Amino acid sequence: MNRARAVALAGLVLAGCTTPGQKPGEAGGSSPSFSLPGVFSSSRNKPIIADLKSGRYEASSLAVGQEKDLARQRGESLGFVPSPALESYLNSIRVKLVLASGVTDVPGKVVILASRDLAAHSTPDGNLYLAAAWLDDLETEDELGALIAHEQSHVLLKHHSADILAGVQKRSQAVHELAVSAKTQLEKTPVVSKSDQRALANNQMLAEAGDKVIMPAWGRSQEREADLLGVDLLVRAGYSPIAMTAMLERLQAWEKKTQVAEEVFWQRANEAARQNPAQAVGMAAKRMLDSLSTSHPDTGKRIEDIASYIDRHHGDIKLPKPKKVEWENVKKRPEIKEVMSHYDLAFTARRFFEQGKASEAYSPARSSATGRTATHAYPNWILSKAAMATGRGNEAVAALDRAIKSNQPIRKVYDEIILVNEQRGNLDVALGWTDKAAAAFGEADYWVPDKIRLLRKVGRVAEASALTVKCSVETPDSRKRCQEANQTPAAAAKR
Amino acid sequence: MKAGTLTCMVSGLATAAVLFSSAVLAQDATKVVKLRTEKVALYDKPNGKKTAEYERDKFKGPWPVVDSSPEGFLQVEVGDARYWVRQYAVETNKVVRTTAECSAVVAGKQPKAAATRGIGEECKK
Repeated sequence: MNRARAVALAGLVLAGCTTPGQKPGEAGGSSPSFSLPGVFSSSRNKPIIADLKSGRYEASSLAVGQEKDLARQRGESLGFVPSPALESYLNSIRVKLVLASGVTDVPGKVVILASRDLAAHSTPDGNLYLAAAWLDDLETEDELGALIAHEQSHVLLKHHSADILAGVQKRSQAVHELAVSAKTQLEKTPVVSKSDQRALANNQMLAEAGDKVIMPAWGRSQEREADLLGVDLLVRAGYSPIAMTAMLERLQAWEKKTQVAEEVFWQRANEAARQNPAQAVGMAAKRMLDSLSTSHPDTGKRIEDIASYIDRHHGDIKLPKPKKVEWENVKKRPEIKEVMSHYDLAFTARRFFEQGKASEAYSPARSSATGRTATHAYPNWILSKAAMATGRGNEAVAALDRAIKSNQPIRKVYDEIILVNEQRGNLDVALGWTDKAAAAFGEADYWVPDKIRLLRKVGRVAEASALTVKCSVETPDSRKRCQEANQTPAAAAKR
Repeated sequence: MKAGTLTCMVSGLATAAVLFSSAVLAQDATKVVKLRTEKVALYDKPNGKKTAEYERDKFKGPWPVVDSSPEGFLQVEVGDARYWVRQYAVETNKVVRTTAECSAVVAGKQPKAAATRGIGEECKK
């Protein structure tokens, strides 16, 4: 029954991938009453914005609330780069683009991630997260606008709703596994029956297919749509549509840069094939699965699609001059210049530290945690690590203290405090920090496996088991880690 | 050494330098290497009148780029004639820089709490 439901769901997902031209809410194919986001065709006669429903924005059912979303996303990475002046500038661009869409009351804001990766994403709450690396690379306000327009388009097109299906499928799989486990216990049989084994394996296969093949394919069509609606928004807001291709050319440059790493990988795989064919096959299979799971289409193809789209729908407009001076002036403002240069120092320090060059990391780390960023979490976290590694214990403790007390903390600090306390045998203290961490990051589930492991270590086995069941059903992505944590040798039960 | 000889040597060196730098510039000169759209419009000036179209299938070799405009047009040499094209419609050999780097710490990454949509894939190592 469960298997049949999963198959049906996968079928619906596939139907969404293979129905070009179908608009949200429009009947199509074998599922007339089922509408999916992310199925516009790039060869339509009308621009995508023509089909965007104007008026009040309808909140996503996956939204968790603005503040909770910000707290959780801060925990997903190494935190944010707090700079009110820069955020205000980026948000003014977002406002122009949202106004251009004709949709009102769109929630969310732009936030800068403390990251040297070329990454950006949006969430169902409407928040747009841009990695700091983009700010170095993008040269005009229009290019920044293109990045923001792309992310804003995902929100306006409600692409996040697609994840409801994936979530349902994974939860269904988790519930099925729990049911089989309960049945096995009730029947007091030590092994799972063959039919149940088959059903579990099929469920697992469907989940894998969904994760690695079906959802990413759908994701690729959504990326194209976000590119194209982004172009419409740029044009309507008075920005140059060329900025969308210019922005993606940066991404393409980064991909070329990392292509070298890919070539090195295949060289290694070839060497491994000579010595251990089985290992080489495993490496190659995993890499191929990873490439299948890439949710973004080829960047060169994306740029070509955008070029054709601009010609088709905006070929008659006079191209405006991109706003280069405006963005350069913003970057020169003392507050922004200082914050960005301090984060660059912190990134440099981290790179040295990861290369095992702690003494070289210390100086930039120390400079990064001064002035306007003296109390910021990220610079202080890296300073504490560099100081500790170079024998400056007191300075390390002080920096860690500032990182914890920061009004925008980062997850790594909590991870390390939990680990250190656990290693020193302060299990109750470590357990307390798992709760503090969850509270600081919007009740995020990252620390649930840690909590389960620590509960078992202090003898609170029943609580650990209950939490494992809750974790398996409510957060299927963490299920495996929760179940592994629940295998931790338990201490004698506390009375 | 006579002044005339010196002048001649300096002049000769300068000519060689100019020739050398021109050769280097010619080698490094920006060229259109690919057409991104099926037909590329050729204009008489930036944001000007469309005078012709060039089909992608007929594109044989690189078009030297001789000028550019702030609005995002490139002036190219097509055979003996010069036209302006929209920058996005063509691919050039110009190297685009990026300062981005991959984080080396991905192994400890936790599953995402909320569904996200992103512009690029995160670094994989």
